[in-house]
Amino acid sequence: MTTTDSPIEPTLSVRNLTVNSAYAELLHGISFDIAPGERVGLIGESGSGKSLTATSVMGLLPETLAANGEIHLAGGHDDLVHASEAKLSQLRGNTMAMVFQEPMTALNPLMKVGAQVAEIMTQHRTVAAGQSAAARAVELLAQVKLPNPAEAALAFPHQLSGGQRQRVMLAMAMANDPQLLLCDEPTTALDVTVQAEVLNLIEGLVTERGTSLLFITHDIGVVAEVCERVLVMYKGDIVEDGTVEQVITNPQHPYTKALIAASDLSVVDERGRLHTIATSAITLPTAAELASALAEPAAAKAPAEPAIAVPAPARSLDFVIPHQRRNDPDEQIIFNEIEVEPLIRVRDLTRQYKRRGGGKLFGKPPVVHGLRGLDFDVAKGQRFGIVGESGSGKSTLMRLMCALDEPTGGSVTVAGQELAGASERELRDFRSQVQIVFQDPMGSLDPRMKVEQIVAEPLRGVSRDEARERVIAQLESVGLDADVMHRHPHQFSGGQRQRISIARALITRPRVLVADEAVSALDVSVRAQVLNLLSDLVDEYALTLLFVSHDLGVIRHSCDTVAVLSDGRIVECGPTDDVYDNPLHPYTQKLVSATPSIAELAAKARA
Amino acid sequence: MLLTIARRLGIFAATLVAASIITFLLLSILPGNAARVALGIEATEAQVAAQEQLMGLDRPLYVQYFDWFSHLVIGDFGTSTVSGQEIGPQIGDALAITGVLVISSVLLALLFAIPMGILSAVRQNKADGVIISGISQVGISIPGFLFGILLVSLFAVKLKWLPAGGWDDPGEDFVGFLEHLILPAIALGSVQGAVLSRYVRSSVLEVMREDFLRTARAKGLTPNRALMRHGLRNAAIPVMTVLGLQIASLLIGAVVIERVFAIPGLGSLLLDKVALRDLPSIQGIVMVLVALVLLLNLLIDIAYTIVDPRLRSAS
Amino acid sequence: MTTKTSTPVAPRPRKNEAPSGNRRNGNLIVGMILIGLVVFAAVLSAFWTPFDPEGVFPQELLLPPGSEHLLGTDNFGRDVLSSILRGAQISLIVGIVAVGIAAVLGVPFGIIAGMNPGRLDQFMMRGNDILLAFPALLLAIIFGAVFGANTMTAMVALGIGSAPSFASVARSGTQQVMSREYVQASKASGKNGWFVGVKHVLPNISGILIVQASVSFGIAVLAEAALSYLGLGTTPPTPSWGRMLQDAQGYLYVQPLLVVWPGIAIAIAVLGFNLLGDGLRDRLDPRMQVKR
Repeated sequence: MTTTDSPIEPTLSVRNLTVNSAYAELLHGISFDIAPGERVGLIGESGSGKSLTATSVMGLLPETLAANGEIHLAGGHDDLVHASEAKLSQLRGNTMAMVFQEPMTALNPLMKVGAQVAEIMTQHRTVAAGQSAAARAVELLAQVKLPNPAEAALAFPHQLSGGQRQRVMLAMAMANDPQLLLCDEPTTALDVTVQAEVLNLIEGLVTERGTSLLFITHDIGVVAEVCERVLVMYKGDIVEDGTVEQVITNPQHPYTKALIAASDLSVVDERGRLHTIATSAITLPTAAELASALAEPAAAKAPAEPAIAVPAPARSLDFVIPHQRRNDPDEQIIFNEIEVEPLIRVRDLTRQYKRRGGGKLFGKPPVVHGLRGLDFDVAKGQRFGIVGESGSGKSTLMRLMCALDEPTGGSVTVAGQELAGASERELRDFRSQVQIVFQDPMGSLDPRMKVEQIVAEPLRGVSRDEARERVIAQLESVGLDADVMHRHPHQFSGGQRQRISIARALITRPRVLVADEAVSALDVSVRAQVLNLLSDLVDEYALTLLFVSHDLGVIRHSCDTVAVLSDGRIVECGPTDDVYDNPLHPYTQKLVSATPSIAELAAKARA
Repeated sequence: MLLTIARRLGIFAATLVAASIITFLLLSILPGNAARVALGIEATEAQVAAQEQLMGLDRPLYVQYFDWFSHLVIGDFGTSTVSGQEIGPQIGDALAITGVLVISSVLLALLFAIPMGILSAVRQNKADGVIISGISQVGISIPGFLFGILLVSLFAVKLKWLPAGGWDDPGEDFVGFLEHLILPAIALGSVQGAVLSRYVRSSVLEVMREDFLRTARAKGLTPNRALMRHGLRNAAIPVMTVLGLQIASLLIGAVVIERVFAIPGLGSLLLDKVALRDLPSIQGIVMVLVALVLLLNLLIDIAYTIVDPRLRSAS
Repeated sequence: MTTKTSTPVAPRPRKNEAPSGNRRNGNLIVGMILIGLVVFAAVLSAFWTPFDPEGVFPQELLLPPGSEHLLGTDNFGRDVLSSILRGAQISLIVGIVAVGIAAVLGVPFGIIAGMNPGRLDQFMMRGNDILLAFPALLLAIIFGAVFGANTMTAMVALGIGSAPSFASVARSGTQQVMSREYVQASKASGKNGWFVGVKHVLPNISGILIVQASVSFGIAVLAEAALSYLGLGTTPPTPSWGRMLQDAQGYLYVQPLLVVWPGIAIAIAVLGFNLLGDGLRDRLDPRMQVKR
């Protein structure tokens, strides 16, 4: 639905775009316009068809898919859907350009970065080949704020970090001043702070040149940062189209409402649980209802009541969690020190890695994944979050706490068992006391095993029958039927596989549950379900939770205490609400400001 | 980078030494006392014992080994116990012939494999792609020597265009040399080419799925241009890994082909010496073959580091 | 899955796999049919052949295909068809034993190397490289020279010569598996190396190992043919396709067809295994795709 009936020709006009595979219709005839200079976001979960839309516009659909409908670019070009490859090649990289999601694989590893940027210009003859193109490439790299652009141009992609590569992609895309820039989840694979910078860059570039933008993402927060208008997609249809303010503060379509509710991890219902698509008590409309809803004229709607943020009920701990920050890198602080019998005690924990040869040219220095002398405690029943970006050392810390790795110095004591230097025999008890739920729902379950074997694996010295009983009971506790036992992991969805993972982790009745980015790979709607489940189980089994993540929102919801990790050190630690509302350390401040919450966005939008 | 090369050279040398030890040990188990073989069946015990001493066969094994190896590295292959001639020159002559055969075969193989492989990948789902793929399938199922025999049967026996076997020195009779080279080179080269083309095909298919090819197309390059400028060099890398192994098998395939075409190369020499139980000769020839295989792999390894910049800064 | 009761590690094509009419399965089906033909010939010839393969008909030398001798006779007057049928046995046996030896030697080696990155891995891989310097056929020739040339030495030599490729494949597969989180989970449950290796690694690399076995089988058949052709393989009077080619070459001017029959037999067998390997490899790929 167009927002205005403007006489100016839209930069992009899509009418009834349908995409079919051999078996199904993936896009059901969508239509929308993008005005010149307009920044439009396209939001949806996996399977919504958002990426397909962009690839259709660029004409880069794989051979197995067929498109129908009409796509027009401003400038009197023919319909793109049925245009020839030759015609499309002329337009790509010239009139319309695209930036993709995975920066690590998007560049040719054998070609220098500068040459790849120059190529897009020589391809469309916007600049003469040779010296001029090379020089212009360096200029472009400077525009995207790459440090040392001249050196960067002579580097190979593997010498640059993910964020830097994405800047290169942007430089390439904007090289020929396209009318339309398409971005398909360009920042999803990047750290939160880097994401903020790249988003800023994108917004700056397109506003400066009046380029239209189609920005695809699953993250509402990101859309609110960069776009003025947003389209919401669900299962191959556009279900809502409005300005960012409208959609966030006053969503019309039930799916949009549900999505926003589920995305907002700071809002919980009366029982203190997150909203999921299912529990939003909303039934998704049938096609007919959808059609009539979309046919309604976009009249001004009365703003709804702002959602009431019900704070999560305080979990009772019988001590006060101190809020501490690190003032100087070498300071010796013990964070969250527990006087009486901490369940976990970490002192001067260090892990160094030997790196052969040089590190990345423009990135961080060689020994990046080390831990530099951590000191902290965790009490029984505490829900301790560990937040950090890539390279902070959080994965290393996780592995050390689970005795999957040996520290190079210091000690880790869990329930009285010293982990450093312990033999496997000594760790036997420990193994059943501490269990992990991993990030990747695909990789954390052995595809060749049946679910029963997988869930029963941690059990020791238990008869076959008893194991089976316990597996059934555990599966039920995570909301799965007993007959799931006989199937293989690939027959389940991501959310279901995480549940199986959780069941496996709990079967030995551990005292500590470590969650390693347990929900990062899941869709927004599923994420809420799994977080609720985790919460319930932690309560029910009286577990101590260690939650490692890069996602502030997730940690805020699930943990009462959070430690912020940066470059191998804890820089701040304290009660989650305190740390987020009042970050003391500059790094924490940077982190928090780079991740706005939906409530904040709504407030900002309304203002 | 120099450090990498030095390391590889070191590994090459060490592997060569290890291989030589294996060769030596294996062949020293040869039943049928070498001394007895040299003297003939009529020899008496005493004569055999004396001969053994003469040949140094009564020394401890490791001494024999060091003696042999130290001569080997300076190029002295010793003398044949059967013919009494120096082995070195014999091997040299034979090597030259096999070398020519192998090099022409490799060139033919590459000439065949690269276009076929690329085409069958690019036209994967179209009729001609499938047909080419089918041809290469059949190609790898036929032993080289069989193909050689068939070629002889057609071109030499039936059509009488080319000789059925034998060899001419290029210095003496260049045309004859070419005539004798064509069929064996085609036999060897086309079969190996079929094998290689399958690797080229799968490598190109892999590359076509890579993200950076999508980026290239998003920049406005046509699919063919994108493949040529960005894809092929990347596709070459996995093929290079295989090339090393393939050349090794080509070398051995040459051994059999030489028998088919009665070419006096290294392969024929080896087989003859095996029949004669000429131990020192066999050792020498095997070492040369092994050294060639290792050397080729070394060169390919080095070429690898040149082609792929990712391998340069690391390690 | 059909389990072969005769030889321990010999991988066999899964004959009771239901094909789904997909083009990818075309390879698989054709491969299985061709191999089926060979197996049929081998089994049949154990009980019955049109004539005794070793029986000579001095009056009927070098006959072209006819009503009595369907494929003609060779230079000794032996029935070609019977020899071809019986020859299938040798090819299959050599293949099975060679691949069996290669797998038994190479797979554990590769798995251990893959599970122990660092010194042990480096050391083992050097060993592998050294063995790789001796192509299988060369080893067979040397073995033939040292131990006497016959089917047994050929099989053992080919087996040893093919082991390094199994080791390589097993190693890279193992490394992939080890990097997966379910292995971490297993370790976090206190499982030791044995458990992880047997319960997690082996089932997950079995696919690529079967593909490798199929390919190696084809290579073994080719190698046996080459060896027999050179006179270093199966000794008379046992029929072998390779040796039939050697005999046939001598009579090219007289009866060129003699070369064709063993050639076709070899091609069918090898093609069958190659197609099977390809088909299996293709089938492994889509299985890796999981529901989101």
